[in-house]
Amino acid sequence: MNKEEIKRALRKIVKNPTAMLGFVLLIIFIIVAILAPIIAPPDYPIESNLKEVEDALDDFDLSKKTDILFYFNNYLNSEYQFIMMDYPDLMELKDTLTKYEKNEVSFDELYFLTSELASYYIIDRYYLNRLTENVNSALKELKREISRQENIYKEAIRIKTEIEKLENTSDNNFKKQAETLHKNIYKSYIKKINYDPYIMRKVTNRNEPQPPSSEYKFGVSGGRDIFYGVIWGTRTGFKIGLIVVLISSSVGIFLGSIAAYFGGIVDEIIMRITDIFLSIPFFLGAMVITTILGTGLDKVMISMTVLGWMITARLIRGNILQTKNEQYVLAAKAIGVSDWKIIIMHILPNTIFPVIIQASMRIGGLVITAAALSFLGLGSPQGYADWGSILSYSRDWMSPENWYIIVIPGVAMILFVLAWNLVGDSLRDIFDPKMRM
Amino acid sequence: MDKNNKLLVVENLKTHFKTEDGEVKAVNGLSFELDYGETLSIVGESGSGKSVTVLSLMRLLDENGYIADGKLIYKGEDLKNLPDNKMRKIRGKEIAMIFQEPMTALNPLFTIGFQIMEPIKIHLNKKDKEAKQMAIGLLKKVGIPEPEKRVDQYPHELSGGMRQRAMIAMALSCNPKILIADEPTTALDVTIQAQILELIKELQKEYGMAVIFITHDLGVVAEVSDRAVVMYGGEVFEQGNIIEIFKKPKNPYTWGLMNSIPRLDLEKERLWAIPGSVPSAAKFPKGCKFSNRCFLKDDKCINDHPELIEVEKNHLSRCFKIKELENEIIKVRSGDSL
Repeated sequence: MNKEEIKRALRKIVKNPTAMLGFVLLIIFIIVAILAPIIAPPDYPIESNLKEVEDALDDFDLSKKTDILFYFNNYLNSEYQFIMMDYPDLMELKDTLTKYEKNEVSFDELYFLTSELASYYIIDRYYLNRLTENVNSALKELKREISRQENIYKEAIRIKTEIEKLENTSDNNFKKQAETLHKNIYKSYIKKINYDPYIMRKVTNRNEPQPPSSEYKFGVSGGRDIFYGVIWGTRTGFKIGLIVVLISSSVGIFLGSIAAYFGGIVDEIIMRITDIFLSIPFFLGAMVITTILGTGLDKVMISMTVLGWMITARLIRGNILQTKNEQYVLAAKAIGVSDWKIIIMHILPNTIFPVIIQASMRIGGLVITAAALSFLGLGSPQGYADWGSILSYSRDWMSPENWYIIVIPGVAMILFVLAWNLVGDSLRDIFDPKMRM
Repeated sequence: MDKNNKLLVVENLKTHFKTEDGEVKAVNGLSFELDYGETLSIVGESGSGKSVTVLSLMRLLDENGYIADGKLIYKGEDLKNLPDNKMRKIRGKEIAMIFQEPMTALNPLFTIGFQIMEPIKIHLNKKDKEAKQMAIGLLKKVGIPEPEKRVDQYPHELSGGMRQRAMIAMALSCNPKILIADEPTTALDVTIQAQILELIKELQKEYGMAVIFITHDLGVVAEVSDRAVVMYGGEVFEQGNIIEIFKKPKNPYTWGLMNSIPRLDLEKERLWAIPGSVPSAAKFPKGCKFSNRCFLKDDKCINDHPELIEVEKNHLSRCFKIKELENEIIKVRSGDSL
């Protein structure tokens, strides 16, 4: 694509108001998604010891050195005390496990040790019950649990050595070192408690919606801040749309090109499989697959990918078959262009644009489907920032005075879909050679 | 020994297609020779096998088509057995081709400059800049005004005649020895047709290349060629010097084609036409393939298959009724002069 082409494309966008609107909307959504942590800052959890360290560092003098070290050690104790104590017992269990697998100890010994550990709450009773039900899978689960706890222990040791290092740092470097360590430990704390900024925090325990106010700009639904959900939901929307479209389109392009290229029996088999998949109603199929796999955003994405590749496959196959017989392909052959160059230069560019356009238009639709699944409770987990989930909180409260719980996330969704459709449309105008004039 | 001096010798070419109805013999025993700088026309209605002949020559047949028999000797080498990579070096460089539909024969996504540069880059190993200069020179040569501007334009920005000129520039870019023109004027306006024919003739003289014209229009044949092969149903019906054929046609089919040309110098109520149309490949009559449409046919024509015979020196025809045709022609022509 040369400069002239780009200029022409830009001129086309600027001249066409709907295309302009599409691109502007999309750019706004992209900016919102990128700046989400600034527009709607997540409410990071506070740990009292680390907070004390932070305060001391803000207003630092050397007299506070012992305080800081004290709070660091205090944090280590409060968070990792148990694992430090439990670690030898866990290692014993691990040993016994390996020995049991080599038949060096009996099942009774293993069971006894496990029950002992369970009675001290070192491991969950659940594993004990599993051992009586299904030994093999219980062993696997136990191993996973042990290695998880081992990782926590390693983290504890790491923090401990870091703190010891800090103790021996000279006074000049102390502040800087302490600041890095604080950041470091806070990060590990966030990870340890599994904090996810995508989860909308609960701002109230009351379930009824609250209208927009200065504190909650878009109101509160299901006890959660709608503003936060809408902003972070933009990221979810992009995540769902782009990932599903990218994977399903790649699968479609791959299968469609293979079918068109090889023809014959391969074509027949692939296209019949495509037909079978196409005969499944999309929404119903997505519901069934999500239910089988279990709820969750990733499961929704899997089900939409599984049911989303067929149109692309058909499209690219048809286009390749048609382009293959175009006279310019024959003309290119007649001037001695090699086969792979014909495929890459003459066939693919003439077939790929409809697929790209179709994919960009599909992104909007996929977000709607994901929202519908979330609305039915099959999509994202409780409180996940996703437009569909926010809508699902409104199920029990739909009435005109509660308009904001539906209209606000609904408008966000409509604009998102509209943006992609308009962009897809203008892409067609720009790239479709038949519409060039 | 004579044959090795010829540029191209096609001997008993047979091209078959595998279809659901069985094997279709699209070209059945075609032979001709082509000298340096000579022009040969292959004439026939749609479905007579003329396009298949040149596609066989270029080895660009569809997947279900194949050369069943015969020789395609180009400069002493049989193209039929050439490996693909060597054949690719012949296409575009030694034998170039222009197509009927300039609308569809150029890729809509690339500028015409890019498409003219493609064979130059492939065969002559030129860099972009030099290739572009050559493309501009070629566009000038084929009579496109403002070639510096046109070179960066897309096919849709050019008129049909311009596009055909661009196609010709593309075909000439590597100075081929043979130019195959597959109905190059069919899709163009009458005024443009004459220009394009004139252009091809001029360029042929300048480049000294041989031209194979594929056409259904005997008017075009008379205009440009030295010799002609008239094909029907995949078989040669008449072959010879163009003046001989026009003066003394030896086949009712050729005679029919000649009478189908509109003529301004004769006052006729209606234009004469060959009755019926070319049957599909599997449905030709079993005797003479033209027997169901021929005005001279009798039982012999319907039951027996005529062979190609040399009626006069270098003038071949496939017909049982050459005598009757001669009488008929004398009758009609004396009527004309009255």
